[in-house]
Amino acid sequence: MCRRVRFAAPALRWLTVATLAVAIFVPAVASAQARIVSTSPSITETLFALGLGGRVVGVSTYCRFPAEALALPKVGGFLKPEPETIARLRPSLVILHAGPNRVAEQLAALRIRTATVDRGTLASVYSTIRTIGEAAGVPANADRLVSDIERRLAAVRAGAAARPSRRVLVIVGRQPSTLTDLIAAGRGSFLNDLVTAAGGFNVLDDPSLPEYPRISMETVIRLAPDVIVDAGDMGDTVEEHRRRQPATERLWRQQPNVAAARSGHVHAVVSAAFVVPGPRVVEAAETMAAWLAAAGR
Amino acid sequence: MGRSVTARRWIVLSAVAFVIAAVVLPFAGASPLDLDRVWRRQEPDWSIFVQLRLSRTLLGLFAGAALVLAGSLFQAMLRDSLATPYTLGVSTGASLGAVVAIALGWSGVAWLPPAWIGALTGAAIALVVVVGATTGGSATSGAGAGLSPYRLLLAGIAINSVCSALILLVYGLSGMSTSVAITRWLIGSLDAIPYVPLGVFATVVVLLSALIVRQGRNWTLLSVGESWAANRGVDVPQITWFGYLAGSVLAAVTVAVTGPIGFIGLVVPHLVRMRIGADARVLMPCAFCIGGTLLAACDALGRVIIAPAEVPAGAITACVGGPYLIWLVRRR
Repeated sequence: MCRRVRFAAPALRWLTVATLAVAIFVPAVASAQARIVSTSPSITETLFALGLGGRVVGVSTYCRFPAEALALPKVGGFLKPEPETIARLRPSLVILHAGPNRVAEQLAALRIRTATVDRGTLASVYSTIRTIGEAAGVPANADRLVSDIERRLAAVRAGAAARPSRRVLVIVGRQPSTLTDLIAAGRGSFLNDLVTAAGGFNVLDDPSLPEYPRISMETVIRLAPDVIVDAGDMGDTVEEHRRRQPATERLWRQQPNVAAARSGHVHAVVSAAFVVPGPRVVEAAETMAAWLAAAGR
Repeated sequence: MGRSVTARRWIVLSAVAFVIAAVVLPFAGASPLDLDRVWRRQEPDWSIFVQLRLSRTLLGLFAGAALVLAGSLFQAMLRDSLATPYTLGVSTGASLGAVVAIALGWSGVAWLPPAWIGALTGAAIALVVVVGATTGGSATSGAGAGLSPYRLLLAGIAINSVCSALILLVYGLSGMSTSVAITRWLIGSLDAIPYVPLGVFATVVVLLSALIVRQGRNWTLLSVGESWAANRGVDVPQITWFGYLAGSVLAAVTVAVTGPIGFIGLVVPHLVRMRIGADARVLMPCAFCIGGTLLAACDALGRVIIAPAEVPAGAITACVGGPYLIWLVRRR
């Protein structure tokens, strides 16, 4: 009896040590080797910016940046990712946006871990980075990335503080090759936050308006913005963005009653950083700040 | 005699409403207009009034008129109270063409934006397909060999289904920016367009509408039944062809310019019919004028209701016309 107890004591110690080791190291190893699926361009850009690009095994149909994302398997759009396609990629983590679908429940039923992130504002860019960093086991990387964006945005704000504020209109949608059916960025959009950071004032920053109001050319004339940023008819690839830029600026030059068009301060966007609320928003803010500075000269 | 006076009065009243709308509605907009500056042709008020508001109002008047007249025509011709300007497939072909043009990033030609070029091309292809489908068939197949509204309806349903499926396919294969542009186009809306395309559009609408309205007696007879119409001297296949071509072109050119604005072409003919009666000689000119007036008025309301943001005209027409139709049905 006594001998049996003596034999059990070291075994119990070993068992305890082994259990602790499994509890501590297995999750770390698992998250280090996590196979991650992204369901939107902003999530994909965040994952790559966090240094997790090598672990991404699937992206949304709309993901085009960075170039590595183009070669990855596609799992549908961010409004309705395809659970079956995702499951076939055997991911250990899927990053989703909250939306009118049951994908998170369907993936939970398949025992696939998910993390849900916000979208829409500059604050949600930070919260998305932190949520993904936590879920993927790289919170320190997330803190570093957020700090880097905050530092660069602070520099943009500091530069802008020395200049008078400019009135800015940001177009995010319109009928191709025309200036009709204009959709602009209002309050609540991340572009509104970017305009403010760049030292501008969004002429549609009005709480009574929708987040992305539809406006007419009459409103553009009446609001008389100093600078117009047009991301409305960009196309989907960088080549298309560049190809359409001159045509867009030419369209605006045909509007003699639009002050920004007369003074040459209409800018056709050629970077998707303006339409993807991810880590590259800071590049968009820097570009916008440069445009606003040019409008003041 | 009394009936003829009443009919004439309805037509005159509708025409007066159309003209009043053309004169008054340009004064409604997202911002106040300085009439003194407009009178003196001072910018920007002059351009806002002439280039933006008047152009948009006229587009609303002619687009609404075309959609409602095409709806009235198809409802009479097909004897289907649920027929719309989009029932016979050509308009959905126009939508598919516009969607393809947006997805492929076509460039515009002169004053023709890519969506218009695509829509007109798509409509022409759909027209050829429907014509091919309804004129084919073996000579020995009896009733199936001749043209009839029934065959047109079936071909239209088939074209509609195929084009709708292809629109979804193109949408699914498009990138983010393109899919947003496609969604926006498919909602349908009115906006100011230059006067040259507006003039071409209005000319096509007025000419086709005049030709359709001139056949008013035939549409009335056809709405009772094909045999009924044939026994009273109507060449049913010929008038069916004419109705199909004229109505489809009317709807297709409107879809090309405005996108597919829903509701108005389905419900307004019923509203007018319940007030005025089913005689196409009166119904059609009234539907033309009232349809145009209603769409332009709803668009004006959409411009001011949450200004400077806008609500699409189709949403306003549905919100205003739907309850009115229910009220009319209950009263009867």
